[in-house]
Amino acid sequence: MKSILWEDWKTVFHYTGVCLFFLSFTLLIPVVAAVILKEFNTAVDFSFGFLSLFILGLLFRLLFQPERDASWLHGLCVTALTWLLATLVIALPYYLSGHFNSYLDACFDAMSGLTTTGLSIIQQMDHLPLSLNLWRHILTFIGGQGIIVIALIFLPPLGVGFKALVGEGKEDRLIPSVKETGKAIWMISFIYLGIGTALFWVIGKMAGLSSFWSLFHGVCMFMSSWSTGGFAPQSINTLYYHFPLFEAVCMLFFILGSMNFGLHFYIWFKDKKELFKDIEIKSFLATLFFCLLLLSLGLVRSGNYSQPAALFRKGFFILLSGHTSTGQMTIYTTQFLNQWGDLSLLAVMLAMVLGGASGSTAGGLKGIRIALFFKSILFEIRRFFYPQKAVLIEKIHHFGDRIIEEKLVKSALIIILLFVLMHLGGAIAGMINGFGFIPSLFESISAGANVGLSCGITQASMPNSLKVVYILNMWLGRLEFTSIFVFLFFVFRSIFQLKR
Amino acid sequence: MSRPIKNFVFGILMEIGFGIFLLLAQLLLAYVFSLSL
Repeated sequence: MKSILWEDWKTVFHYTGVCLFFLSFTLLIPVVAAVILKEFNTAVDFSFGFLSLFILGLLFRLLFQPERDASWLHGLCVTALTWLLATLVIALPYYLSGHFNSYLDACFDAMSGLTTTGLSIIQQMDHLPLSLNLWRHILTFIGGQGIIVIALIFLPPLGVGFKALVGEGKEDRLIPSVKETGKAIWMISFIYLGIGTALFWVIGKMAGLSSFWSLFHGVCMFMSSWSTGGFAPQSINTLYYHFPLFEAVCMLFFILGSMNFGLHFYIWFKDKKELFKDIEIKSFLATLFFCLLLLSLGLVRSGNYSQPAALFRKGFFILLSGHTSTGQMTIYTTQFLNQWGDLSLLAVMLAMVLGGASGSTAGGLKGIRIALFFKSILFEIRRFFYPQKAVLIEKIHHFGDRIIEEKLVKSALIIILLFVLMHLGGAIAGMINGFGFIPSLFESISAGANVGLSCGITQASMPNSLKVVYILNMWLGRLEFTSIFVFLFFVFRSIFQLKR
Repeated sequence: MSRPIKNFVFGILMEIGFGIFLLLAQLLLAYVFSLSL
């Protein structure tokens, strides 16, 4: 095994600095918004945040010059470190706003936003400065597309390019050039930003909001839905609107946001039939139908939402919100445990675990892994129906036919196992802190799969240790373990070498 | 409108159509489930 040298650290720090440097400019958006809205205290808070990230990025970039070509090791470490440092610095203006009890709470909200989770422990959300509230949603929009994707667009050849992008969970190259792939991802998101905001604006007006509020809520709710984030401008989340059409449009953008960026690109510019062929769409439809059936059995038999409209607006909304890892809610958090019953909760937990498509803004196991898991089970059974010497080939359709190789299945199963262990670990942490098994597991899955549905555990008064566990779960779940494990190994190996 | 732009616009409409179809299918399921369960 090769040793970790100071040159390796310099390479990692340099490219991390590059990513943070470009990310810092996004913090100018809330500064400008705050000045326009005459929220000058917030403008000062975010100016401080911008300068902190800008200087940190610049220092890393200038002080550490890479002396060797970036490898996969460096790329994955850059991703993990960038996400961690970005969270710690973005939490600064949050903390300065006075809406968080502690810096840890601010870090929780920043990580929740960046990872598009949507759990929040903010204080007095209904009285937030508008620029701060807007930024929380912009942060989910940035996190959904990916921090590395931002750096890729503005940079001349970034040495870690594709390696860091893979660490962020965007494995499909839409276009051979990595830089053009980054641009395509943002183009898709900005086109839908225009369509979505206009749609929400019209529906907001129909619901009785003024033009300004329709625009503000429209932008926020689009970003929350498309990025499968789950934040909302009001403390009671989507329940605030009490308007079926508004909820339906949210659901529409959960679905579109949880689709692979590559699939959007394929449908728009290459082959429209891919929408009906792609294995992740088939997998999503199958698992969604199964979970809907379980949920309906649970809800209707327990006497909840016996009317179709209520079942759709409360039950199906929450399930789709969970399955696409969005986390928007049309019920109060306490209703999960008090009214829904075990079977309904199981359906929602299962949906949250499964998640959306790979290479999308969604979290969870991802459709491709679920498809690989079931295909490999079928493959094992099929083998018994053929002669022993027969060579069997199993294929899946994901941007063309692909042969299922053993290493592909192995890697999918490892990630599935790690997700299961993480969810159980979070549940154990919840139980150690005195919560019951079901709520602990529910909240742990919600954090780890970057969903954001809550059954009431997540609040400012919860133990600090649990906040740290959920922050780690959100980080691990969003980057899908590999880059973080590689980074931790990188750190421990360096320390071990120093001791020797 | 040029062919690539037509394709692109039709692609977006197709995706939105797919989303709406999925929502309507769920609404139908909600009716079926609430009546039969």
